[in-house]
Amino acid sequence: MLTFDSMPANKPVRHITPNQSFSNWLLQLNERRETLLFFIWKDLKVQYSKPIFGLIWSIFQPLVYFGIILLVMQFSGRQTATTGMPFEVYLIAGLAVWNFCTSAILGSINSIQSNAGIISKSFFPRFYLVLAPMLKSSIDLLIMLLITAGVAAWYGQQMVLQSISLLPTMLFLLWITTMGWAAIATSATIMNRHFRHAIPVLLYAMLFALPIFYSASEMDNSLLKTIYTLNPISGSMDFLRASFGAATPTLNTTIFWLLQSLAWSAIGVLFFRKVEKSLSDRI
Amino acid sequence: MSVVKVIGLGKTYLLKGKDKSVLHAVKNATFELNEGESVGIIGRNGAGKSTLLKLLAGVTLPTSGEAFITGSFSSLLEVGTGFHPDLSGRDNIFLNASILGVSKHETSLELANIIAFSGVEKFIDQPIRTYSSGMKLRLAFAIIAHLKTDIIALDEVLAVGDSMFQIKCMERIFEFKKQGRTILFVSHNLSAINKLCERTLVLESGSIVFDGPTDEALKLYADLTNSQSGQVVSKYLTDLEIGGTKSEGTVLFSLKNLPTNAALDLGINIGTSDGISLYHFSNRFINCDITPEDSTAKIEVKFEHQLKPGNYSISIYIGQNEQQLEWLSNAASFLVPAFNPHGFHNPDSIQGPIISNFSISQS
Repeated sequence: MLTFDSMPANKPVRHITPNQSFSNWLLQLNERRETLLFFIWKDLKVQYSKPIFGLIWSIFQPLVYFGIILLVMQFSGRQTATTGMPFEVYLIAGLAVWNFCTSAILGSINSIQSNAGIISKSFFPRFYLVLAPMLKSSIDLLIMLLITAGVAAWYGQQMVLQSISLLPTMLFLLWITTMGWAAIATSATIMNRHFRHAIPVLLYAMLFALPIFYSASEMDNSLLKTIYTLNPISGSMDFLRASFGAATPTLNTTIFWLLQSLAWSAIGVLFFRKVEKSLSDRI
Repeated sequence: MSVVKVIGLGKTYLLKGKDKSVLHAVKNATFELNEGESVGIIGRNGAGKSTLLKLLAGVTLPTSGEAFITGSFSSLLEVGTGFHPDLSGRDNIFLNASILGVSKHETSLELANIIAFSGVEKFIDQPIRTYSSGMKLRLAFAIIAHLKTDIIALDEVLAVGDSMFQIKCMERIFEFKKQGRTILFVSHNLSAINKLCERTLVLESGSIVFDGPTDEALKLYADLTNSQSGQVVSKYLTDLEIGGTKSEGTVLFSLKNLPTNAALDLGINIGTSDGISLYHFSNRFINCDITPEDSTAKIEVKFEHQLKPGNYSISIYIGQNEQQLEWLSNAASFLVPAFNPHGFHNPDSIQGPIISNFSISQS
């Protein structure tokens, strides 16, 4: 058997084996966190090299959708039964959440390709490819939340006192679920690059499938209503809206959402760990 | 003291296709590196050299075996792969160093030295996209040249860049050696291997076929490359065989699938591994008409050369009716066996690859 007698003392020993333990995987994520910060810093620096443009591009998409949906609603004369808040506030809150989820997942998928060179040449924890775009999108989310608060104030909706507990729950649901979904989408793309074309379509379908410009309470089909309610991203939207005065989700639903978001992230991490082994061979 | 211990390391790839075959990129590799040792790795293209380094760097996981690496390990990123085009040279130093696992603090301590070594001080705050490929290369090497890692893996660092820069690289690599750092050096530049490494591993289709003194490894490698014909995959060319002695060479090949019976236009080029053309032989230079009888032809090229020992690259041009049928760049390697008429070591950028008879006397 191998001994370390001849190995120099006091130096870290890296053990290379066909399989890497989960605890080792987590340790590495922590050890190399400065590299993660550099990935985020790089993206921010590139985007905000001209600060005004950087800012505009980060909120351009949700604001354009905001305008379009408002116009369509007005022209079609459709009434929206929202849960006790002006439609504009309801809409911008939904778009803020959706925009984060979409840009984090797209960013993660694209980071595999834009970093192909360093993936095949050097080692860093591969999960940063999922985490970095998500953390970078969080800056955009922050700006969108400020805009949401602005829109709410404009329409006379004050932030409610409980939002100190509502906003962290909203962020938790959003981050953890998005991380899981981004990891799943990215792993699928690594396994088969054709998913790169399918996933953006699914993300835009989400704009209509999630309760962004209508609410689940409008539905008369109870099965469909349940499915809508089950989604932790809808949960995140509900919590954001609740911070501006809409009804607070019930405790049971909240616990269900929290558990579900944890399950998504677990599935995502497991899936990613399975495909990351062959990542450098597949790109 | 051994700092790298590799035990039965293997990497197989499943090849997709009807037959579901398996490619053994690295097979059962077992060796140790001692602290402060410089070890060369040679082998033909596809022998598994880069895969072996990737396994040690952790870029890809092995499918069997294990390895222990004591201390920090870094491998040179390919030119500019870690660079972001829109960031400045300075920002990219930090980014690239971080990807290599160096902390921001350590990088900032070395920043001035890195910039000075790279020779791109004037442009250091310009975006990398405005750099020439040479500038990018110098910056990339400057970063690794200042890393404080215990073990350095260098994969074909001398294959690019101009000669002055290559000399600078080589000097720096010798400094690493003096500092007592462990070096793994992969190169097709046999003279550089000869100068730097006392010990060399020879890889052949994934297996380590030799592990021992460099001069013996180079001899074995010469036999390996000369005894086997190059496996060129080409529409028109087949059965390529290369033979070389210290003053002569032969290139044999067959042509197939030729579209017409028109006279052939053939060109055989011999160049250095870093792309400098040295000799060109064409049947047109000597008014030799080669007309295929059907769609095939057998060609034999014999030539004399004055090349120093080392590995050169052969490229082949096939044309008909003033049209190019094929240009096989780096189709095979041409190996001049080791001999040493003048006591020199190296066909390097100062001494050049060509020998001539000469005399120097005091008059």
